[in-house]
Amino acid sequence: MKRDILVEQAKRGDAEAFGKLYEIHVDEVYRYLYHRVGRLEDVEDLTSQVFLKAWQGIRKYRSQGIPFTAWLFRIAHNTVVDYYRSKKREVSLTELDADAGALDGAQQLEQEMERSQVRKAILQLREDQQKVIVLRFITGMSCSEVATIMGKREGTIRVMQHRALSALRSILAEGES
Amino acid sequence: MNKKIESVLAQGIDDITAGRATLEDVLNQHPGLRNDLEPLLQIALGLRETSSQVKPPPGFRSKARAQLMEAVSARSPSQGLLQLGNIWNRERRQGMVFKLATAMAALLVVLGLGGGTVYAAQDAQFGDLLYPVKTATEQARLVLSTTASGKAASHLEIAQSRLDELTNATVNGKSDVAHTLATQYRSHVLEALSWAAQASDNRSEQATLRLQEKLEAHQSAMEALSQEMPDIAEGKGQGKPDDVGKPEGVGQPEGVGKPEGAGKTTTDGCVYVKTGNQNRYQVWCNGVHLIVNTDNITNWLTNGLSAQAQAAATSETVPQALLAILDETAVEHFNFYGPLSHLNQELAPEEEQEQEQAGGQGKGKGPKSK
Repeated sequence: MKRDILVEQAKRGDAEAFGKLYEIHVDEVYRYLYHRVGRLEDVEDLTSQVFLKAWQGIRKYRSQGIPFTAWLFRIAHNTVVDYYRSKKREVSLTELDADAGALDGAQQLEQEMERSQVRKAILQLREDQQKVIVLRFITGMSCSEVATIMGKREGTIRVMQHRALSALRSILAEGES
Repeated sequence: MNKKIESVLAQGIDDITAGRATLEDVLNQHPGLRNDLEPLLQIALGLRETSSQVKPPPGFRSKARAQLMEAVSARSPSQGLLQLGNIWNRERRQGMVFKLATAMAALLVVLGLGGGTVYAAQDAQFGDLLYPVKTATEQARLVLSTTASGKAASHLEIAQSRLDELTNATVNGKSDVAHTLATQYRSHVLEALSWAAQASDNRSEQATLRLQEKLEAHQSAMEALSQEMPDIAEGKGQGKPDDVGKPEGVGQPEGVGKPEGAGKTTTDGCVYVKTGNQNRYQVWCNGVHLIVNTDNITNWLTNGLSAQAQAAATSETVPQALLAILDETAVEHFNFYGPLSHLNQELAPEEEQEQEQAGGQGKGKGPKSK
């Protein structure tokens, strides 16, 4: 409810209200981009871009049918698509490893290696499977919310989820062997 | 069976996540699916556990929030784009650059120039109505880049845009505009180098490497342009960016006459200009630049080069059919630019071998090695 009020205030041009929406959602948007973009240094810039685009478009946002979170993640998704289209980026596994190596402390390093391994595996999935996995498990959305964002039926998302998890299992198993 | 496991999997994940059941509870409810279900549930739950640790680095939230707030509320709508554009030309100090860029970002927002306009502006050329939108968007992107490597990448992207515009201006014989764009191109390359050097050690190396790759790609495009305007590559004959008169020292390149009128674009995106010599054309087509003698340039392009250049761009290799075209006697010179510029290096050794076999008397055709 509080978020709906903030959205309405932001739509009327209230920058502070938009700042509060930023506070609420910045971690999950960052997390989404972290698992969709190969280069960590680009994640911060893309996070900022998502919120600037959201501010640009918030006056046109209508709450009927599409929750604010779903709308925000559509922007995040389009930002990722533009990113890969304009840069023709490829996932650099070496870079991902290098990110992990930049940390201090054995435990922290181990955790980061694990995150890096998961991230690498996700980035090897098909684009639509990546999206389901990240929205469902990284940002913690329900099948219903993911269906709204992706414009598909909930049953289809369940099928895609099963296939994506099976594919991820194979990739992780290959990595271990 | 599959449909069932898909529904059970989804329900199981939701129940465990909400604390309504444990992993063992779900598996016990569906003993026939245990072997298939267990590893998938473990992966799903493991993903949630692992991802919960991912957070923006310390300081990012507050820094990015401050920049975002400045971008969205720095200026009122009454301050027009033209006014800001004039200030932009007068004041180029670092602090002013930041304030103006945030103002421009805010202005884009306030004026409601949303995705459609900004997207449309991406292809705007110098002098077009939407060109100020394009450059303002670029400045906003620079401000929103929070890391040194991000700023280096943004400057590099802008440099690429200036280079594309420069190619277009050169094709259309706009020498005054071309020199403005060449100056801006060099300025952004220098900024990119400066920011890449300031990035942290690990990222600096990556940023510098990307910069190097990009600049190598730019080099062949600049070589092609310098045939048309020799002083562009060397940076001669340029005034200040906002005060460019007719540049000195722009003569006609040897062997390449000044185009008669503007360059023409074919339906499949190739651009060609007629040189001073009869039936002799310069062509830019999907990453391939060449000089060709032909009676019918349109037919010549549509009957081969365009499709083969596209195939090369897709496969990032040189198809035999494209090699055959480039080997035609009508083709005086060719090289690759943009996404295909790496092919110059691939073909260079063969060229050098041919030249050696011919006693160093190469026919001046084909890419130069660096």
